[in-house]
Amino acid sequence: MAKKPKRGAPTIDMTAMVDVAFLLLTFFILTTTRFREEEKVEVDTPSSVSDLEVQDEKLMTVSIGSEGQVFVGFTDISTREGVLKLLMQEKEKAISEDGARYFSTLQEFGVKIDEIDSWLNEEGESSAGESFTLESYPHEGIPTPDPDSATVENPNELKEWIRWGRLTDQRMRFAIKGDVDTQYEIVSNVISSLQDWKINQFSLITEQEDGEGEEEE
Amino acid sequence: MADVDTSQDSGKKGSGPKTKKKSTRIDMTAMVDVAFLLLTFFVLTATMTNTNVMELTMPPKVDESMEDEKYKEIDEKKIMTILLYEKDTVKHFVGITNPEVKNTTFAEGGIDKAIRGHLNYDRVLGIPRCRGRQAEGCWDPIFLIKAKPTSRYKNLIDLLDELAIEGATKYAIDKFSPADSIVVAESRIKDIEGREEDE
Repeated sequence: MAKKPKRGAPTIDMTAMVDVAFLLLTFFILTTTRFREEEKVEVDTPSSVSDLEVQDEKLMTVSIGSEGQVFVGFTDISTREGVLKLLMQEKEKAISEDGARYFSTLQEFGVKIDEIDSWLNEEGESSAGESFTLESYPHEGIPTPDPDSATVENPNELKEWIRWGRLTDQRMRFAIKGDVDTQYEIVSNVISSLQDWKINQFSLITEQEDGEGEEEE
Repeated sequence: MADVDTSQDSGKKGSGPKTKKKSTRIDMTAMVDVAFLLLTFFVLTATMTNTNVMELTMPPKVDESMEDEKYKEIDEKKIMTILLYEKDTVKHFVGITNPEVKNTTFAEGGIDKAIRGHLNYDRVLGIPRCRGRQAEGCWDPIFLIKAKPTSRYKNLIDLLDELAIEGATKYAIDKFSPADSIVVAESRIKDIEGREEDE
């Protein structure tokens, strides 16, 4: 019993490792949940082999949900402010400072132009007479009928948003983010609305496919 | 396992009024396990949503009166029209006058094979593929995509993807017109008549 072998398990100091693990964990939790909150409409984008990255600057995205709801988003905060200012001028609407500030934080929105002021002024009454807060106001999508057959009763409001976006920044680029189950009709309406302003080049947002040439079916 | 408190054992032997030295070490193994499990989960979900873009250039809108003149200058054999239908079905035909309409799917060996076949038709014709700005006496296939209003957006992206994979550079998206429905219907009638004659 002169030389006893060391008893017990060897100890490893895991403190540093735990620190790093939790730091990374926090980072990933924050980044993933942030994305989820910002999206007003859930869009399951189709996959493609394209490896072009999204350019996040000066971009207007038109998101189309699976039910055909159209949502609009501007990537730059300055654009959002500019667009809202144009809307207030042209439609002669007064929007409170708080409302304007809230609007400039929104990644996406889908409220009819007529309802914008009642939404952002926190009076919070929808067309149905129910009361809502800024956050819980229902986004039903921007009306986007075929621009060739749009009428005064059924206007194509997406065209207005495109025009305001373009007026705010001449170098504005456009991207369409459609859901896999979106009917082509509404996509065609969106493309047609863009083309009416002579915008013939735009991006389609897709999800990267894992293997080259491999289909998931 | 790791970080087990070993100081207690040594304190046992010299038992007595000595106050036990308590270690402040905590077994972190389980916590680390959970932390890494969550970390792995979030890393995977974060990288899964890797968004990319596809650039699409549309031809400028043309007046209705110019509709007939659009394809005037092009040899109609160069045009392959691909029609997208509901339920992921797709039809395609080459040319404009009395084409033979074929049904296919998005599975491997379906539409991709048809696209490849049309692209490599130069070998059958024995004329070279167009290179650079050369436009006469060579083969430059054109694909015309027409999607039904009720077809799924995914199919359009799949088709654009397939064209990109096969290396087709000339393609356009156009409106699904009644004329296309007529072409499909006529072809179906011809198909049935042909089968009856065989019998």
